[in-house]
Amino acid sequence: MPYRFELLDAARHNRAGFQSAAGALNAYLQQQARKDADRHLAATFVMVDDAAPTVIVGFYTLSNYTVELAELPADLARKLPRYPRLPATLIGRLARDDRFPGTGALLLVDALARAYVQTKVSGSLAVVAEAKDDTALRFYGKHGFVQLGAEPNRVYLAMGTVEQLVRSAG
Amino acid sequence: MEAAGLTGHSSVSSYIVQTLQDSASRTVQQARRTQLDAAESAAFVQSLLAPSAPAPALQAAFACYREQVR
Repeated sequence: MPYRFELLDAARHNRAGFQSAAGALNAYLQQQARKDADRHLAATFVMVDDAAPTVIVGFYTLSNYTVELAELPADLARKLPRYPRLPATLIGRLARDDRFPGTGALLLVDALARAYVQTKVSGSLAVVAEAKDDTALRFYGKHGFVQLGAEPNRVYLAMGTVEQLVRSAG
Repeated sequence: MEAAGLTGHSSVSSYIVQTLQDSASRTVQQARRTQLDAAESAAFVQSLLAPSAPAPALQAAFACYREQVR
């Protein structure tokens, strides 16, 4: 400690050493994350310890997301621009190394704060997260996320809530 | 072979690569959107118009973040 966040740099960060309980997420970081960044599909941010900056404590990915609306009741439709598709930000993957318990929430806060800052240059009304299993669902639920539509593994938090959080820092 | 020719590809292999890339792109696009029905849309929009306060756990995480991340 302290920790800091950086864009994944395959030449500097030790991806092979990352070990979370989720093998699919380890494989993603080690084999796919850099390719997705090169193709502009998803940006991967890693958390590192200042004292050992090549060790990846945890990581998350961000990309754009779209929520498509059905026709709204007139009273609600009046309050929103008439866009049938609303922009959001997707946390596609989020994982911490098993050797660093308690850091998952730090990853989530950084992802939310970064998504909020990005709204200054590209609109986003909510942060959507893809929960890989029930443990992840409980994690997001504990932090205020609620289910998005009928998809049980997709949850979201309104950007207005994130804004309140970030502004609470004064 | 016929499909490759009809779509302007000079070889079957280039046709296959393009088809796989198109399929992968469609899969990614579908994974990056959610389509809501009328009731879900109304609930979603309501939550955007009147966002809830951050959950206590999120507020606690934010406090830790401010202490531990620079």
